[in-house]
Amino acid sequence: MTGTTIIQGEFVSAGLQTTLSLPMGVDWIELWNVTAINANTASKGKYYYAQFINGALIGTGFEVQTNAGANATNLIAAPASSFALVNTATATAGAPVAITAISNATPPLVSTGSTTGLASNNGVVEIINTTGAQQFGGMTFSIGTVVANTSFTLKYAPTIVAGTNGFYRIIPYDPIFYPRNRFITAITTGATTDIKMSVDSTFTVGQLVRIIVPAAYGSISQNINGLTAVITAINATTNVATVNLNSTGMGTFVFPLTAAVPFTQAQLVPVGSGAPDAGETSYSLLDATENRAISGVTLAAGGVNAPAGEVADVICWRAGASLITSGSTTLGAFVV
Amino acid sequence: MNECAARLGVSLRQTEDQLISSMLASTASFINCVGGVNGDNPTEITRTDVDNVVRTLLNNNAYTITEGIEGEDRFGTAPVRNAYFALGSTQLTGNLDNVQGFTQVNQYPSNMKALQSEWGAIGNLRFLLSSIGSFTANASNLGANVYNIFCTGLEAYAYIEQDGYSASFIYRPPIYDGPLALNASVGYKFAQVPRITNDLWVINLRATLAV
Repeated sequence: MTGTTIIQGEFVSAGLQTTLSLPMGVDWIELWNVTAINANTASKGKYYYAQFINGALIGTGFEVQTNAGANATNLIAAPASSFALVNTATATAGAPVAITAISNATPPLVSTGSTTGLASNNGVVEIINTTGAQQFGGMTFSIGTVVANTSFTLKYAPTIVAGTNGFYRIIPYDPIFYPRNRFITAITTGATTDIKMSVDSTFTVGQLVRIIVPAAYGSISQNINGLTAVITAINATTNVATVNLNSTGMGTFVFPLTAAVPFTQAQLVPVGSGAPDAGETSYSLLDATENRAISGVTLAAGGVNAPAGEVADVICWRAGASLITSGSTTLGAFVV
Repeated sequence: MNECAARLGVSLRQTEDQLISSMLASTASFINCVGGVNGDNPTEITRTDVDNVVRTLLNNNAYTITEGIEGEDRFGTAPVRNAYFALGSTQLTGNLDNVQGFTQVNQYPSNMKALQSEWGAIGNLRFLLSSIGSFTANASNLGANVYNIFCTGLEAYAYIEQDGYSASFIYRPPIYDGPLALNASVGYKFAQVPRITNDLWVINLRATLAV
């Protein structure tokens, strides 16, 4: 490398873990919390810096933090795990974590002694190797409410007969290509058809989808399996896609029981553009196949001493990839 | 320089393969193998699973990719049907050998008609395997790796070249590196988008390995 590449940007914090896409690679990153600086907020991080050598973070990075009286600043080490390099194309699932129960509540409640890495309404887990509740095995679910080291909910999962011991693992990435197919957890029939998915949808209004419902899912399979329809609405709260398919009288969607394993899961499969996307008068490329892998830096979940800031904080940042020298300069010896 | 070009060429094609298989794994519909006895979901691959995916492709009017290989009067050989391609991981080799009706490449009437990466045929599927074949880690009911076998008919997917080129091999001699001409650079770049052209003609047959 003969030079330095610098990239910059700004974001408004959602108070959540934030990943910055830095496709040129990153050797260092610095961030300014503009909101904290302007308000001179006490005991809050105003500036952060992290440096990476050959992909390894030096220390934990550092932070310039206002003192309790808001009349001075201190230069301190950033909290552990404030910065992490990420490449979603090569990211791997988390290690299995034991669970003790999956309840028959709506939504199902998963009991576990460890919720490390989970945050309410943020993230995806995969359920594996449970006693009972085997129909969830290998499926991915968005998580709902997390009670630290006690439980979490599978917010879009159907109600099932309770299960016991098994494992979950955190899935820290989506498949890299968009649009992605999704597991179906419920279908409501009618003049239009409502389809609920197990993981937060990335579909958009106007996309054409194919509905795959194998025979294990009850009588509706005979009529709806393989049909295509256009998404006319997305409910982000319930994760339901409404499609322009009149499914009246097509039968009932029944989520399989644990004894049905092995079976093929019901899927909502992206096919293409069925209509102009919301707010557009002609077809666009919003439905086109797109590689959404990200290489960059993940900033720890927001807070007063987190580089991702608190909700509504305006964060400016600058990151770069630059020449790394192999040593230091001393009198009589010069190493580059 | 020739050695570099050869190595980069392999890297280029393997990267293309990985991107296309990632696209298919993200987007294509799938059928789980369910005929096996390993107690997982999906199970190991069996003849009923192969028949199911072939039947589905036939029902969807997918064209087969290869013509049949006519039988010849040679011991230990068998004719090969016209077939769809099944693209998978080399981890599947032993499991494929055990599937009812599996024909090894060396049992084809003419080895000349086998492809470099071909392992054999079952019914109307000819299996092409790669060490970088697609799998989804720990994604089965029991937490085992799930191997994605992309069963594809003719022209089911394609990649679209962007900016009017497929791939470029780039060499910059040291004189362009800096005033002291210390370093040369060599590399490749390509701009293309993989895309399913007809979703009915490509199916991801998901399988785990036999115990």
